[in-house]
Amino acid sequence: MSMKELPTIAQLWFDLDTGAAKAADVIALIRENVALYEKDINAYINLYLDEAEELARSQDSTRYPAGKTPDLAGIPIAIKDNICVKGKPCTCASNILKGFVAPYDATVIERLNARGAILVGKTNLDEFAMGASTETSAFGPVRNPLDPERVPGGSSGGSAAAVRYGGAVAALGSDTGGSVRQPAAFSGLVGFRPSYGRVSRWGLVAFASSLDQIGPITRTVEDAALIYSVIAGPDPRDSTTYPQEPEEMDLTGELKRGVKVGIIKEFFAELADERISEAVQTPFKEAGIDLIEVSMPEVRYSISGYYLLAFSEVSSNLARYDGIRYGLRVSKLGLRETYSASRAQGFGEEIKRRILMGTFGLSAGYIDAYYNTALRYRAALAKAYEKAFSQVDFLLSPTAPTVAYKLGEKIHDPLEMYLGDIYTASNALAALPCISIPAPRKVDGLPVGIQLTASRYQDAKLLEFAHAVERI
Amino acid sequence: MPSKESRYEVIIGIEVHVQLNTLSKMFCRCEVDVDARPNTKVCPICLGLPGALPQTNDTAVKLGIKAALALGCKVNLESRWARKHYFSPDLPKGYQITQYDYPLATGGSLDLPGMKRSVRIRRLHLEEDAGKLIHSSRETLVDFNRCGVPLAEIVSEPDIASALQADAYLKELRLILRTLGVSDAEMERGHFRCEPNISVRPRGQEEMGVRSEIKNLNSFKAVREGVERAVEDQIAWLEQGKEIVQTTYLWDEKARELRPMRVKETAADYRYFPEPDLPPLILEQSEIDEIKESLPELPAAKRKRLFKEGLSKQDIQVLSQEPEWEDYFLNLLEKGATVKEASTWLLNEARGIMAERREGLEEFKVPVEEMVNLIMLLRSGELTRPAAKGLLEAMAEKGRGAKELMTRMDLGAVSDSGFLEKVARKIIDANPEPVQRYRNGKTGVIGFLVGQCMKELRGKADPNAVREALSTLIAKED
Ligand SMILES: [Zn+2]
Repeated sequence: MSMKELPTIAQLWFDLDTGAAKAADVIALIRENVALYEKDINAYINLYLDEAEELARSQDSTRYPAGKTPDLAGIPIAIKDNICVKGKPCTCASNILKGFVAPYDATVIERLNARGAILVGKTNLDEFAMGASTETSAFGPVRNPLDPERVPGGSSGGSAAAVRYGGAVAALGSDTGGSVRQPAAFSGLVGFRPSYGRVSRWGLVAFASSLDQIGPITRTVEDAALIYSVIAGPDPRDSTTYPQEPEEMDLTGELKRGVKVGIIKEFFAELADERISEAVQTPFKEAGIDLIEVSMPEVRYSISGYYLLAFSEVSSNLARYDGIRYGLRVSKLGLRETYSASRAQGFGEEIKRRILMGTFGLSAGYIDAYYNTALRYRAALAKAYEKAFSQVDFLLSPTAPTVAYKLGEKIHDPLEMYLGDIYTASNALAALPCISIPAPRKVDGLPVGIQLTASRYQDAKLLEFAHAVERI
Repeated sequence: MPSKESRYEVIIGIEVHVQLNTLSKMFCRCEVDVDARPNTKVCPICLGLPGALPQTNDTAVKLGIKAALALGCKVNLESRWARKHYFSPDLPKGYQITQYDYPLATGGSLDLPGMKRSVRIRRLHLEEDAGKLIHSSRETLVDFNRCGVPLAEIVSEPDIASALQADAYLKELRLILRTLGVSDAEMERGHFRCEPNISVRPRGQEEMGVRSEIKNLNSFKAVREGVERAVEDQIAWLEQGKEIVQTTYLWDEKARELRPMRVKETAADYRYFPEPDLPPLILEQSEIDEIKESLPELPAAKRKRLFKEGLSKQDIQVLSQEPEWEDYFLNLLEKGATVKEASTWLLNEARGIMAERREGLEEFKVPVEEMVNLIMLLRSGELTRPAAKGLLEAMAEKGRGAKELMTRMDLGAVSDSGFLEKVARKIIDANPEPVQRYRNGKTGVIGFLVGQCMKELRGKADPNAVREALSTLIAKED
């Protein structure tokens, strides 16, 4: 037996609209793929195939006038398990949320539901989305369907793996410093991180609030654009959302003449693997696009700046998991003791490391040296990006400095793991839209991600361009 | 030798947490009803559930601006939200959303009525309340109905020098907030939580003394007593040469004592940082100006006006402490009563009747309109003053209109001069001896004769008219 190839959203929508396919049949294919791969890959924390099938059948029996089928009707989608779905557990792959069932839908879920999408299951992730390999999950690591010895990337590794092995047509992940883009890159998929504020965070369990964005992991840019256009837009429940609706997109796939693509000198200077650099740049050169070198020394500190801010916010956002109201409680005699025991047992090692460092970074006497310095750095970095975008339309870089590595290779060296975010942290800090698409050429037989970044809120332009690049 | 007290200088600053009068909470749409069945006024936001985000309540911001403007503060066009971290079972997010280095308003002042002292206001900022812990012998339960209720924290400069001034400051502040409708400010219900910090130093000493902070002050009496106690304690310790340690006390209402709650060895580290879930609070100057335009007459201005219009200081004091009375009073003026009439019939007569009946103003059965009717009947002479008193009593008892009762009880003034003369004749005849004394020049006796007539007339005549009738008759017989 082998993997049953699933259609893309665009294909499936067309086939469902014309009656050439049935949603229930796609769920049946997914069932087969799950039976075949899930045990080894561990992409899902919870699967809802029966409910999915039921919904698919009711979708199939609904007759829409031709062309009027809702955007995502009958499309099976996997959701990262840090996004709340009403009535379903939301584990964040952590023991501390044991038994917690979300009493409400995230805005993205409401919007997907309103367009007819079908929830296949909730996908595995690094605990609270903190990691780059999906090895820190309390539900065990996820393996890369392309090579089960290797990690799928992270933290949205479950979402990427599910799409990769045909466990869903598309998935939602969340990206704080690369968590959608890097697993997409490691899995040969498209991962899109919208501009900060484009997609409501209501119902997304916070890791670092000022950085978290929900984004799609799909097989094509077109699919990413489709999902984006459904989930994006202002939401009164998230005061940080951008007040304008997403722009219309023109996905013709044509490369616009005179488009200016830049590369950040400092990024490529530091790149160890020449082959990745080549895999990323060659398609552009072959398409006759000159790459304009821009210097942005600020990016050298992006890992430090990113982790300082992210950890500080982690220490605050994860204070609520105290064993009092929901989730795991380890009862001890005193209140303090109950707090300590619940948190000690509920959180994994990486979470504890980040809470400790973040708490330190916000402490009196240190906040100026750490948190506040990082805030100033962030402002300077955003300015530097702005300057770069006065010279070029898009910035090009690899998504990750390596291809998918082996399980266990980096998990015991947190610094090494953090350095994997070198290309995905700075544009996240600057709140920019960025996308990873598979490079045509592989390295060591494994996919390489091409990352494109645009200026803030130019999400539509970025998707249009990425769609064109995808076709080179 | 100067007294112990006068050798020391008392320095008091006060923080007040005011519950804002909104229908819904600060960052969610839950109804504010802290007395509802526990944990029925909650949602994912105020319970701090994973994935929930705060949404600012614009009404709460507006009320905060109102209070700030009334206190003469500068309302900042940009203020920011911050997270204040500490672990407590009644704090579901592990932090409180408040304002820290960019508060809503800064730099105001408040004049203490009748004291010639002004207390500077350092800042006013908005924040959310915590839940409530309910302790029993076996366990502690948490009620989150109060969690997320909007508060304004108003912080004074240390410009208060005695328990009496502290009392005046808080009463005036409370009155302003109630006048504005910003808060019900009921102390015993926790709408108006005062936390004074007190330090004492020898007069002339530059360096500040060590602070005592007091919490759990649920009445003005508690504030006065608690502050007095803290001052006494500190002076005694200074006299004994004891080192004073910065301490937070709880006021024990029953024992009337300060109980140390915690001794601050190191300042608590709340790890304030900007709330990433909420953008800065940006206001337009025009918005602020509009609110400023809509402010009602503030207590100090009102007092000045009423004093000018002839109200006594004592009456002003009464009104300033009791907003419902003030409301009634001002309504009387608006409907045509003079300050004098309103003062006499509301603050004097009606108040006396209510005291006798053990009623409050809310149970008083005479609406403003009927009180005005009574005053008008009196003014036109259709009613005498003593009769009016009786009529008011009847109105308070029966809840009927002034005119209706006056007719029904036959309390209308006798103005028929023939009838008055007849009664005067009768009294003169019945009292030959006092009449004789009057003739002999003891004119004071007329009072007795007038009294007799009034008794005969059951108070229903103008005593001046009776006096007139009596003296005319006696003179005629001379
Ligand atoms: Zn609520």
